[in-house]
Amino acid sequence: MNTSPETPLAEQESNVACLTIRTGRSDCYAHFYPVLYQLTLVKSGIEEKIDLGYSGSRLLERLLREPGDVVSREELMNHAWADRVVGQGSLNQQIYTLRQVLGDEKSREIIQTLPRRGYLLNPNYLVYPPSIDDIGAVSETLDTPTPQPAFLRRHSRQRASWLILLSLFSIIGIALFMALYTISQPKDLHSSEMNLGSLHVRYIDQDPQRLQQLILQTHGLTSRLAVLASKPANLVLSLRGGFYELLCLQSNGGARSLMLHESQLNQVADTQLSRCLP
Amino acid sequence: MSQGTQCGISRGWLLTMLATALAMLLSMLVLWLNFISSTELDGRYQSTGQVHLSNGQVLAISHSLQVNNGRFYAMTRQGDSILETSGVVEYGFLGNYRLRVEDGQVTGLASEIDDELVFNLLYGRHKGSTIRLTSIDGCLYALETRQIYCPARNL
Repeated sequence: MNTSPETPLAEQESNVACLTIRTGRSDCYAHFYPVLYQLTLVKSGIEEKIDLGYSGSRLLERLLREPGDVVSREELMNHAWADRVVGQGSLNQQIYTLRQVLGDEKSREIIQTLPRRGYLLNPNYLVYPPSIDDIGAVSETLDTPTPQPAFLRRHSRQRASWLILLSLFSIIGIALFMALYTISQPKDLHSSEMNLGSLHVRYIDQDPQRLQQLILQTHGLTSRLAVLASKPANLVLSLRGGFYELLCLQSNGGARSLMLHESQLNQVADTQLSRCLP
Repeated sequence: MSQGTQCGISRGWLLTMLATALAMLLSMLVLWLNFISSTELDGRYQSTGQVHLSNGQVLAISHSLQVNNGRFYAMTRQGDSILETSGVVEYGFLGNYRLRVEDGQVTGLASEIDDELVFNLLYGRHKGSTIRLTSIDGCLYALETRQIYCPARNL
C-alpha cells in the first residue's frame, strides 16, 4: 500500500467515479476509486492518495456492494483473490490494513466483524452514494443534478481557486510577454499613400502630424519625379534626422535610395532623381 | 439504479479549464506563427543610391548585408567612408529583427560628411549596439543607422 499526499487530486481521478466514506477520524473523508484501486483521504483540504492494491480494493468493493449485509469470509476471499489460493491470514491482514486506512482499527465500527459469519460495512459511514452499485459507469453522466455534500462543495471551491489562479497567471504571463515585446519593438509607423501619375508614393513617419508636413514639403519633389518617371514605380519617402530618404523600389525586388539633406530639397538635380527611378 | 456521481472537477470547471488550455494553445500558436527564426533571414541583401549632403556634395552610398546561421556581416560605403560590422541576429517577430553588433570599424571617415551621417556610421561600429530592422515593402530598414537592405537574389 503506497501513500502520497497530493493537492489537488490527480487529473485522472477527476473523471473517475468514486464512492465517499466517512472515516473514523474527525472531519476526514475517503474517496474510493474502485477502477484505480485507490483511496484518497481528504482532511482539512489536504488530500492523501493511498494505493490499496488489487486485493484490498476488491475487498472494499465487495463490502461496499452490500453495505449493512454480512459478507462471508469465503465470499470475500473468492472476490479479492479470485485466481489465487491464499490463507485466512491474508484476509485478516487486508481487513486490518483497510481499518487502519479508514481510522477504524480501534473502534471497528466501519468494518465490523461478525464472528463465524464474516464482515459487514456499516452503511452509516457511507456518505454518497449509498452503495457501490450506484456510482455507475466511469463515463456515465447524471440525468438530474444531485446536490453535493458540503465538504465536496468546499473541495470544488478549493480546486476552482487553483484553476482561477493558474488561468490568471497564464494570462498575466502572456500579457507581460506581449507588453515587453511591444515595448522593445519600433513604434508603429504611420503611412499615407498617394498616386501621382505613374508613381505610387508611400509616405512614412512615426508622427501623423509630421506625416502631413512631409507630404506638403515634398510635393514639389514628387511632382518632379512624376514627370521624370518613364514607367510605373513604387516610392517610399520619409524624413529622418534632417534627411529626406527616398526609396525607389525596383521591379526585381531591389531598391535604390536617395538621401537629401533638408536644405538641399530644391537643389537636387533631375539626373539624381532619374538615377533613383527604375 | 444508475444514479451516478463523480468526485472531482465539475463540468463547468472542466469546460473553463479546457477553454483556458485552448486559449493558451492558440496564443502559443499565434506566437509561433509570428516568430521568425533568424535562419529564415539567411541570404544576401543590398541597396545602392546617393546621398546629397548639406554642402551640396553628392556621394554614392551602398549597403550590403549577409546573414548566415543567425550571424550577420554588413558593409556600408558613403563616398570614401566604409563601415563594416558583424554580429548576431537576435530574433525575428512580426517582420522585425534585431541585430547586435559584436565587432565594427569605420575607415576613411571624411570631415565634410554631415553629423547625422557620421553618427549613424559611428553608432553601428560599437560593440553591443543594437540595430532594429523593420520591413518596408519587402526590404529591411535599419532604424538606428538608416540603412536599407533589399533581397539581392534578383539583382
